[in-house]
This record gives sequence, structure tokens and C-alpha cells, in this order.
Amino acid sequence: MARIWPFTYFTQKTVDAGAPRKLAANRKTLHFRFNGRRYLGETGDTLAAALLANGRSVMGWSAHYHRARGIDAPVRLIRPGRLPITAPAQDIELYDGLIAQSAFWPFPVSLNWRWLAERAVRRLPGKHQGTGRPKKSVSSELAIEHLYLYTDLLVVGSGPAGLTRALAAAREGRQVIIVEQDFIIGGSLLYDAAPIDGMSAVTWRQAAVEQLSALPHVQILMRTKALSRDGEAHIFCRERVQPPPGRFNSLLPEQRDIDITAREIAFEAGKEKNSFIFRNNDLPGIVHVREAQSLLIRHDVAPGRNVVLYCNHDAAYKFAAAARDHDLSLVAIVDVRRELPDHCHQFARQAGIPLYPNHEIIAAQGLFTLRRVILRKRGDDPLDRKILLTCDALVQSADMTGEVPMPAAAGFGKCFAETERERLYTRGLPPLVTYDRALPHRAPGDLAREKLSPLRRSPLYGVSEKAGGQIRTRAGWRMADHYPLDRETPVTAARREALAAREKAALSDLSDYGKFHIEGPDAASFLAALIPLPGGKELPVGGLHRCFAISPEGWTIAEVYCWRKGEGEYLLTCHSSFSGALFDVMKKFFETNNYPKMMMRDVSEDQAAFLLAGPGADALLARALPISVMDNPLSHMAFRPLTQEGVPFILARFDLTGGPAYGILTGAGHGDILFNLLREAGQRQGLTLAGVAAREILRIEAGALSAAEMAGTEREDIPELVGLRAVSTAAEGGSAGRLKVGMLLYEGDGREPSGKGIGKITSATSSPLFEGYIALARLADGHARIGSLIRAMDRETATLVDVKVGPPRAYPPGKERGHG
Amino acid sequence: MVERNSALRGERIHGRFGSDSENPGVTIQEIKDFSCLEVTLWDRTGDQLGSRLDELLGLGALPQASRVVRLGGGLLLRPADAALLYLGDAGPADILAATITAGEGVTLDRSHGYCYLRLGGPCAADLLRRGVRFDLRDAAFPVLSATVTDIGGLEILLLRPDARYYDLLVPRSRAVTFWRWLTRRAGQFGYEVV
Repeated sequence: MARIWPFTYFTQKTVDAGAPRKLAANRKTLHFRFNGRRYLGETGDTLAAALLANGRSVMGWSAHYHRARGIDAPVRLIRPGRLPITAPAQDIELYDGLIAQSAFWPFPVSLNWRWLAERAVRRLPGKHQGTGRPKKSVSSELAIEHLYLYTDLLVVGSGPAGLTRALAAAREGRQVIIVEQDFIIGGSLLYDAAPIDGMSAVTWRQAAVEQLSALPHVQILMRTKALSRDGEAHIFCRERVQPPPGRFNSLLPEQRDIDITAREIAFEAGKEKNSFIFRNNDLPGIVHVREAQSLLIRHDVAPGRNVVLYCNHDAAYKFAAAARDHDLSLVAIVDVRRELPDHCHQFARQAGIPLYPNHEIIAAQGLFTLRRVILRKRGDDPLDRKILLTCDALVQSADMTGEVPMPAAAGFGKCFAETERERLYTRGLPPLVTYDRALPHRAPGDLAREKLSPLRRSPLYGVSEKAGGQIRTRAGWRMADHYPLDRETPVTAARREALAAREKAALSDLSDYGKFHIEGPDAASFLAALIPLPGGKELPVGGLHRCFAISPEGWTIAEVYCWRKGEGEYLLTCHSSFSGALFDVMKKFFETNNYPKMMMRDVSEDQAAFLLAGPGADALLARALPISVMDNPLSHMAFRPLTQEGVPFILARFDLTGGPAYGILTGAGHGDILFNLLREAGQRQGLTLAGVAAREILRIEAGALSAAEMAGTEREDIPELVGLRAVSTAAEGGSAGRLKVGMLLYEGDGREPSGKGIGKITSATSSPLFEGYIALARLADGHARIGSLIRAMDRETATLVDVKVGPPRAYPPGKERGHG
Repeated sequence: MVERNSALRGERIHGRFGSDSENPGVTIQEIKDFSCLEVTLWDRTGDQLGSRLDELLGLGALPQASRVVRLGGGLLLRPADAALLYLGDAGPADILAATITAGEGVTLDRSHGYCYLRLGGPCAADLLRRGVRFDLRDAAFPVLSATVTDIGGLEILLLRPDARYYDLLVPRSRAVTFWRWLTRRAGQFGYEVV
């Protein structure tokens, strides 16, 4: 029984189409919405079939050519709380409650009062308007899944050819994957009743599916479309995973991007949509004969009321026969062949369908949908007569081996070589495109891969968060930025913490620092080439040396601490901003030079590190550790391995911040144990927890450079670059006298700034110690200018700030830094 | 020695989760107390070491590249010609560390740097196929194989010590990120954290 708009039914003869019969027996009515309107459909329908049955042939709009599109239009499925997915209307399985809209639709779909009201409220003054970008939720992260499959044979298409090929390979014991874009297996078997191997199409299909299911190593991927190929062995497919709501599973992704690598790939899709090319051949209502057969036989939906068949081969007459059996009258059959077989004439005569042999369609006409076609006799017709046929559907099928007329000039309109992909016909394009050739090649690496967050968690992340630390991203690490007290802003918290490190005691996470273990008989000579000690002296075991790593080319790479842990055993530590560059240079140097008895590993992951700084640090350590640092004090720039409550660690004494400080290194899994131990011991002594923001204030006060400053790539607009964040957060409390990264420096004689200036600020912060803004800068003749006044200019606001040039190291006062 | 704190503390909750929680397709276990000892050999063949380990621990021969051998209560694998990696109980790791002389090579304890996960259940391989790009079929990745793979830009050591499960060694600082990805993808199969 064929449905035809407006949802009326023909009184019907039966058709021996097999599979659709079974579907028809179980059909139920389904409700769905499309572009804001309500419709009725039936189970087993595609969205396109259901819309056609409701008399709607325009299903989308071409964003590129601004033309109406038919059953191949991309449609967006809307599900509350989930990301919409887009697929052609003819591929979408209908379910009860489906809501869909055209992927591109320039007209208002409906008047949504709630949406209008919300939008109006958002526009009111003082109301948050939002960014318009939805927040990333768990469901959106789940939405797309990647899958990598390997098989012996990949069969694209599950029609008779695909099933035969798959069965033969599976019986040989080969692993087979079948990819089918429909939601039912069978391909043309679902609408073509021709017998196979002496069986009806239905019986054959059923038997093939049963046999495949029983064989091991056969995987059938339904709703999966082959999109592109990469070489001879790789196919990229996309699966629409989300089943209808009856089988709703919120844990499933909505789409699966599948990379299949196969020893052999068989393209048995068989759905070459070879179309005739004429003006406006993309109008809704013009369908390929295979789609028309599928609509009519599988879904009982007629493509239109007045249908014209346009073909160049006998097989297309199957549709005419099916249409006759469904009481769907054809307006005409237009066949481009000059000589037609007798049975074609006979069929047309018996069915009472006007036949136009040796004719071609030169144009289709209609505003949004097909209204009529213009045809003419092929060859030299002296009268050049044109025939107008009024119709609302044109079923066409061009056989590659037959005659295919070239498009002729016939009024306005565009000719498309591929309507699905909106590929315009040009003289250079072949008029017939097979499925295989149409599958585009992609270069390896083109495919978007799933990426996990590259951010790393400090071993002290949990304990810092528990202690009230505000977690931020710093140079790729997630760690505490500051520990605010009640109503404290980030800036005031960072200033308080930095001041505590100068005046009392502060404990800060240093786990982001780069740590490199170097060991072996050749380690000393390797390090001597990169980190020359003054006077060529050898570092004693347990000794610590602060120096610059110099590349073989003579460039300064990083400021590092070199720890000698034993004979031939060293540890290098550096600011996190240097760690990547330092490791790369060391690795390259190691690989290009002969150090056969040496190993080098990045152990930044393995160890937790923290800093205990301030005048109260000694007393706190004496209280926290059974070994008394006071009784057996560590000398400056030395370290000692210790054990506390079964936790081994290394305690070092150095001047990372310019003031008295201890560094503690322990295994990452033991970091929080020691951190808590020191924190508890320090509660009575006013120990302050300090975040990275305070650490950066201390760094700038001590005149230590970050990697960006050393490389000259410092930028204010990258907040996570260590050393720059303090600048942007220090803007609170007015901008008077404020220094910030990027300010140009000029002579300070009171004149208006001119020229390129004499330097640039590379790091700046509001220092609690100096009660004002301080900055690090590159300055021409810097040493000669110490003590003089210069001017800094903000280029954005043209504000001028008077600046006094100090020594490279602001803290401790009067102590110069020994730069390399 | 104090027990190490897990990188997944606060994230890893025991129980059954996902779509089919009655019959979970995947079991996920974090192996907490393990030793990870990295050995760098100066001599690439390691013949002398192999024979000494045979005497001490009954190890027949050092493993070939990308292969795993059982050593005491753990696994010994060979990520590179001149490198060995031991994973498992502390006992054999201590013996291994004591056996290697300075003339042969050096050892480095990496136990704190990694999170050790074990994936079992009928759908473990299907779950891994969501991220692992190479062929996980038996012929290509048989039992007692190991490889370094990339899942979403995260470098992971993947081992197959047994036909029933896969072992994964994940960098500690990104273990939580990986755990979240793993449990999200495992939800469709149903999973149990043991």
C-alpha cells in the first residue's frame, strides 16, 4: 500500500517484495517534529520517507547555492541535553518523538515565545548575556568516540554482492567487517524482489544474515558510512551510534569515528547514483531510481503524484512495474535510447504510459519543488520542438554503459554532477561518478583525533586543594595559585604569602620544576660540556650548584641547580618554564655525542618538591624532623638524604628566592605526607602556605629569569606563562605607577618619548616587600643606568610611569646576581 | 617504607558502574604497591646479567624487544636494546638492583612516576580499541607482549601479561585525566572498579 500525500493510501494490490511485507505487518504510527511542525510516520521509515509521505519534499536548503534540497538534505537531530548530530534525511531512522530540523534553513521554523522572552531578558541592562557558546558538559565529551579496527576483509555495503563476498571470506576463516550505512542489513535486497540462487530475495537475505551471525570473526557495523580512504588499506567511517529512545543509553556516544585497517577492501555498495545532467537536476522531487524503488517498495511511499521516469536502460523499467503494481500512474517514460527493445514498448502500451524514446530532458522547472520538465527529441530536429510535462516527481537512472546526453542550454539553472555533495557540473567533470571513485582520499593525519587534556597534576594537587588552595594552570601544571583567607582577592593573597616568605615562613609547591636524573661513568664529562663549573672544579657529593646551562653552540639555555647525589649520579632541576628546552638540548647533545655509559631520564613526574622559605624555616624544621637541622646544620648550597616516619626525602639548603630557603624532594606518592607533616608542625609558628603567584613575586624580586624572558618571547596575553600572571593580577587597587609586561622604556629627562626606546619590561609585579611595582627589563647600558630615573610607557593607554633603575637583583638588597 | 599515595585518590571509587552493572564488561584495578625499576645496560646484549639473573631468580633469558617475561612476582620487559624495565613485587626489584654492577649499567626506581592499571573482562580489548591505534588482535599483540602506545596524546606502556587482562602504566601526573577518559568510555560496557 503506497502512501502518498496528504497521508492518503491507495487501495491496493499486493506486491511480492518480501522483506518490506514483514516490516509492514509490524508497523506502528510514530509522532515526530521537523522544522517545528508535527508529522506522523511509521516504524521502519526513514525521516525522508516519512516527510515525503506527509507531502513535504523540501527538506533542507543549500547554504552554498541557496537552493532547496530534497531527501539528501543534511538534517540535524535534536535531543535535549545532548549534542545534535547531522545526517542526510534519507539515512535517519524514524522513532517516536524524533525532533529534527534542517541543518541550514533560512526561514523561521516556528515562533518560540519562551526563547524570545529569555533573549529579551538577557538583553536587559545588568543581565549576563553569555558568550553564546554552550558549556562543555560530560555528554558533549562523550559525544564523539574514536575506534580503531583491524580486519582481513572490509566489505562496504550489505547488498547481495557484499553479503556474498563476506560469506565466502568468513567461511574461509577470515575476519570480516561489513559496513552498512542503513539501519537494516540487505541493501537492494530490501526493495528488489529478483530471485537469487533460486530463492526469493527475502529468503536469501535472511539465510545470509543467519549464516553470517553464526560465523565467528564477522562484525557488522550498521548505520556506518564510509567517508574517505587513506591509501589502499585504510578506510575512515562514521557511525551514528545513538539508538532510538526506546533503547536510549546515555553512556553511549552519539557518533563513532572509526578507522578501519584491512588487508583487503571490497566496495560492494552498489549505490552508484549515476544521474543525468540537465538544468536544475537538484530540485526536490528528482530522485534516483534506487531511492524511488526503496521509497515505494520498502516504505510504501510514492515519490510523488505525477511521476516521470527518465532512463537509458531496461533495469529502470522495474520501477515502472513496481509503480503499476502500487497503482501509481506514471505521467511518461522518457528513454534516451534511439532503438528500444520490443518489451519496453510492449510494457508501456500495456500499462498505458506514454513513452518518449530518443528523447532527453533538458531542464526541470519549479520554484522550490519540481513542477514540470522540458524534453526534446534527440538529434537534429529542424523544428526544435520542446515538450513540457507537468509532474511533481522525476525518477531517473543513467546507466554508465548507455548513452548519456550532455546538458544543453535551456534557460536558467545549474547542472549538478553530484547533487548530494552539491558538486556543480562543469565541462571538465566526468558526467558519471562511481561510488568508489567518489570516496575521497585523505592524507594521513588529516583525521581529527581525540586529545586528552595535556595538563599535568602536581603530586600536591589534592592536599593543596584541601588546604584551600585555588587551583590554576601554570606552565602546563594544575597546582595551587594562591591560598586566600576570608574575602581576600588573588592579588592580596599572593602579596601576603610572598611577604610571609620574607618575614616568617612559607611552604610552597615546587613539583612543577623540571628534574632530570643523569647517571653513569660518563655523566661527569657530559655535564661538564653543558654546565661548566667555575674554574673547572668538581662538585662534591652532597653539593648543590646554581649555574647556567650553556648549549654546545654557546647559547644560554636555562638557569639550573645541579645536585651531585653520588659518584657519577646527578640531578638537574630547573624552573618549569625551562624544562622542555633544557631536556631537548641535553637529549640532542647526548644522541649526537659519544657517551656510551650514561643514562638520562626526565623524572619530573616521579618526585614531589616543595620550598620552605623564610627566617622561621630553621625552627620549623627542627620541630618537624627528629634530626635537628640546628644541631647538624646544612651548609649553604648542600643537601642531605633523610628519612622521616619511613618516608625517604632529600633536604637541600639554597637561596631560590634570594632569602633563606630549604628545598625538599621526595617520591611523588609521599609528597602529601611530608607536606602535611610540615604544615602541622608549622601551625604554631605561623607557617603560611604560598601558591605559585607568590612564588613568582619572589622570583622577580630575586631577579631570576623565566625561559620566556631568556628567549625574548615573553607575552602578556598568555596568562599561564609563569612569571607573567603576576602582572595581570597586580592591577587591582588602581593603575597608578603600575608596571606591566611589554612597556617600552625611554630616557627619563622629562621629554616626550620618541623612537624605539632603550628597552622593554619582561616581568613585573606588585611587590609587598618594596610596597610598589617592580619589574625585570631588558635595558640598553643597564649597569650604567643603575640609580637613574627612566620612563616606562604603556602603548595602549599612552600612560607614562617614572621608573628607577635598580640592580638586577632587588632582593637581598645590595647583592648582585652573577649572570652568565 | 610508607605506602605510596595513589595518584587516583579521590577519583577511584570501588563498585560497579555503567550500562550493565550486573555483568560488567570491564574490570579496572589499580595495582598500588608495585616496584618499577628501570635498568640501563652499557652492554646491549646483557649476557652476563642474564645468566646471573637465571641463577638468582630462575630467569631463562632476558626478554626480546617488545616481549615480556615473568620474573618472580613481576614482569620484565625490554623497551629498548639497552634497557630493561621491571614491574611487580619489590623483592625481585631489590635483587635486580643489587645484581647490576656499575660496570654493567645503572638502575633507577620509577615507582613513584607511574600509575599501574589492570584492565580485565570480556570487553577490555574493545575498550582499549577506543584509544589504542595499533592492532590488538591476538596475532598482532599476543600474550606476553608490550608496547608503548599513544592514547589521546598520552604516552602509555601497554602490556599483555595474560590472555585475560591488559596492564597499563600511565604517567602519574596525567593519571586522573586518563582515568576519567577510561571510565567514561567503559560506561557503555559496564565496568567494575576492584
